[in-house]
Amino acid sequence: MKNQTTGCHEYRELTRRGLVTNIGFHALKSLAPSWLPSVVYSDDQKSKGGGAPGRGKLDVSRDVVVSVYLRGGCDGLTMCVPYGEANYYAIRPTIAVPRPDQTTNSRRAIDLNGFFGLPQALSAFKPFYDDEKFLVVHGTGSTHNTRSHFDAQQYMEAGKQDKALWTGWLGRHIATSSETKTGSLLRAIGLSGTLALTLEGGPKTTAISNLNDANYGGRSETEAARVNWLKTAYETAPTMLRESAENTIKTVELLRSLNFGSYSPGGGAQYNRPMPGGGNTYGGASDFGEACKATAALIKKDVGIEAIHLDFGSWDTHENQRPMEDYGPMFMNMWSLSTNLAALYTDISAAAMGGKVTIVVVSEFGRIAMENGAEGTDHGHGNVMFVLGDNVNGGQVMTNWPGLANEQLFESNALAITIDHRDILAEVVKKRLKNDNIAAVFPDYVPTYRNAVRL
Amino acid sequence: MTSHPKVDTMDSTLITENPLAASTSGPKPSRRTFLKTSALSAVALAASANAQVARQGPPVHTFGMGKFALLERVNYGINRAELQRYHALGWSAYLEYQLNPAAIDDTDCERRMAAYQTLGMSPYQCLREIPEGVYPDWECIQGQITRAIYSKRQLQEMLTEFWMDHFNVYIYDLQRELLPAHIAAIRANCLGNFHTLLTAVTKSPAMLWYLDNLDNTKGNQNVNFAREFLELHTLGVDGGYTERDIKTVSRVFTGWGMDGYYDWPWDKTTNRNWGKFKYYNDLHDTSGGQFLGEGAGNLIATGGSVQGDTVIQIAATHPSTAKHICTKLIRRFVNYEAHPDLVNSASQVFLNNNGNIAAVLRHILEENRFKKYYGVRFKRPYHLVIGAQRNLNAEMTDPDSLVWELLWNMRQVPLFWLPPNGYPDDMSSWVDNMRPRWYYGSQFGMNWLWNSRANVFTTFQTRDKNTLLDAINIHLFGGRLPALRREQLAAYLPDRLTNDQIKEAFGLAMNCPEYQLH
Repeated sequence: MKNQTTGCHEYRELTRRGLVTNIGFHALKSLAPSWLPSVVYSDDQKSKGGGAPGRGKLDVSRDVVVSVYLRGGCDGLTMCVPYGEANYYAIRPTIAVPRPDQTTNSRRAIDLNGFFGLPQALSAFKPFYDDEKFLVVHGTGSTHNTRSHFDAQQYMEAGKQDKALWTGWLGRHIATSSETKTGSLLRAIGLSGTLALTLEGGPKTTAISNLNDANYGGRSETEAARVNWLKTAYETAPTMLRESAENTIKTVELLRSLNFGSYSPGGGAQYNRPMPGGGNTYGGASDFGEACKATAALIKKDVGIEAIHLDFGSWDTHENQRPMEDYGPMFMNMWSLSTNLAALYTDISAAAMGGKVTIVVVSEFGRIAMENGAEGTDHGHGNVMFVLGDNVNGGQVMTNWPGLANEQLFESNALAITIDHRDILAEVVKKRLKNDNIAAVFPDYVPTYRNAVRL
Repeated sequence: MTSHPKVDTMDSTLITENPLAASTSGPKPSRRTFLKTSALSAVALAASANAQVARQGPPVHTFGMGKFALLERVNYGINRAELQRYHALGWSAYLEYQLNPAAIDDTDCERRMAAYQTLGMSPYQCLREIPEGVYPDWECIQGQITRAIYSKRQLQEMLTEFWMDHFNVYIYDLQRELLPAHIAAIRANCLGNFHTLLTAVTKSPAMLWYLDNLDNTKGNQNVNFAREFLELHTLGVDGGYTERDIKTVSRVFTGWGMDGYYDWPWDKTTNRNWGKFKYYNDLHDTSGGQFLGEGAGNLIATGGSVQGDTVIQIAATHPSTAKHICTKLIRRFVNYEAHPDLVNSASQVFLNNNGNIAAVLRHILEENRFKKYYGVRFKRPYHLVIGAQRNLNAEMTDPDSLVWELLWNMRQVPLFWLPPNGYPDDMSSWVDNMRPRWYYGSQFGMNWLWNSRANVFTTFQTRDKNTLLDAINIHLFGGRLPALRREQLAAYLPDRLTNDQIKEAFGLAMNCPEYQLH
């Protein structure tokens, strides 16, 4: 791993957008970097088959993808409990979630298949699991051996173990597929202050921290003139700035048309539900609820947004995980994750769009199988990932379960990886996002399709 | 969508041919002569800078060094006083001036800092001796912003920010009373020896708390601190250490903790050392181990707290650390693309001077060297907000307003970065949404921010478009405003400006692509 690159990838970031901006559909092939093989746009395929008259470039049969990243490395052995494995209880004397048949603790696991269970904090996923819309993949992740958050996030988001790769898998999907709506203002949004690497490289892509913020400031009577002035001024700005300015102006236009402030969820969806004891979540956990609500609003508005990325922090539970009590850091996070994604899904399903959305949840690595001395866990390896959608082959825990016995563990202390997470993501890209350019989205990797989603 | 929430008293102070005479709420008489002279010299400087721009050829994509490049790199923003000082001292003497903050009289700033009573306090005092409703963590943020705007020790403040990123802690993942001492230790050592700084931070309970070392004890190892100590604080992720080294370092730092940690309940403690560093021998794993290689020379022998001191010593003076630190300093102060030659020479300076940070900065900011390796950088939100406050000689009366109206929306409030790697120092992490940045320029120019007044009219005393644009070029751009952009600004404005047009000219200037860069 060492000395493979001549410097940190960040050094190259100034030139990132220089490339990105030129990734229009037509310019891409000539400017393609060496890792990007020749790509076929779905609009090319479509036009051969003859799409709807006059709208041949649209591919409206593709899902919107919602990508959720749990920053910090979530503890997969809590999020999908291998209660059938005796070792689990032996190496986690205080933080293990009790078996479903344990009667004394009401925060015991909810059985999924006789071996795995969900913790109570994720109970909102259970109805979707029963409806076969919610898939758990276990013993998955990216197969490097780093335990650094930053390297592991880089590899997972880039979709390759390469520190110099400055585009993300989802950004490359956007870059190698046609728009679903001709002339859409934006194709992908990160609901966060800064754009996640996952989305880097995608055209018409930006980060927004608050959908209510659409104010340019200054005198309203001169606003139109000033915005025109900015358009002109940024035409001669360095590429990254120029592209950002264009996106910003489009985004403000979009947000003003959205009027997010007056959005009301459908289907009885309730974002940021109080925890079972009645207390409210706070911090990153409640921010996630707001982001899910904004996601639903964006999807239902049907303005051509194809990918939405959500970051959810604070999963780095070195101490006091407390997965079974209301204000335990892990409980609150899991509660927010499951109830808000359930609300999002209910909300869009009520608008008959449930079949048009696939949600994927990933995190950079799992945590050490054994608990540490502070009722927490340190950086590990294999983990869970979740997929939610009408066309997901849910209702199962997909795994080649590696086991928790000492000799079965990765480096003797962490869950091994037996399914590369790219297998699942690539299948989503191919079957749900209808993009055949898998070699561009996941360079130098040949995925094994595992029937995680349906065409 | 646009709202006008504030009463703008400046509008009642119409600019006349002699604006100072007409001002009723302007600066005190003693400062007036000074203002007048400096405005004059600024215009003279502007004229020469323009001539330079004109000679530079095609204006498009001209993001070369301005006449005041050093001033822009070692200040958050050029203001009138520093412009004059730089004019008097020149490159190397001005650099020396900023490299010796203790010699700079900062009385004006210190007077403002008196509002933040906890910043000089010990953790115990913060815990037991302050009135209800005073929050040490929040005062740290307020003090940080106030100093960044008003301190003449600008390089010290920029380095404090640099090391607060490097040794990041998160405000809500530690006991708030520990923060003032933590930041004071960083500020005190920010230009000194890296070894001393590293020791101070490693013995800072705020850091030990944030990275879980308070729970890293004999028999209950928690490697979080050890990992970040090697990966982020010293050698760097490719610095040549292994998982075994992380284990060793983790053992070495068992028992490194906080005085009074076990004195529950804390709010009743009478231990005046509460919250200071304490080494707990009974919690320490004495076994040591191999560190950074095989052989007796790399063995951290069985022992007590001296093991930790040894590891700090080895890590602080390691060539990988020199390279890691110098690369980051170069990225922050010279160029995102840290040139390997400059990294190598700076690392040699680091190693030859006991890790002296001022020596490294003196090396990388030396005029000819800087000009050779210079590269354009993007102002992070904090830099943009603070810099404009300085450019317009603002009277900022409540830092909270800057936090809630601006920095929060731009996602860069001091102490609010959760992971241990600090706010990113690159362009792509910050460039994506220009709207809050434009909002700031437009609102600030109009004087519609809460609790911060831009002194637009006293900074630029003219109604003449060309004179104003000359002054804007110097004060906001250090003389590097490209001719094309100047023409575009000129096209927007009439020759003779009203108050609102002057303010709007500022807003647009602050919204220029070049103003986002430095």
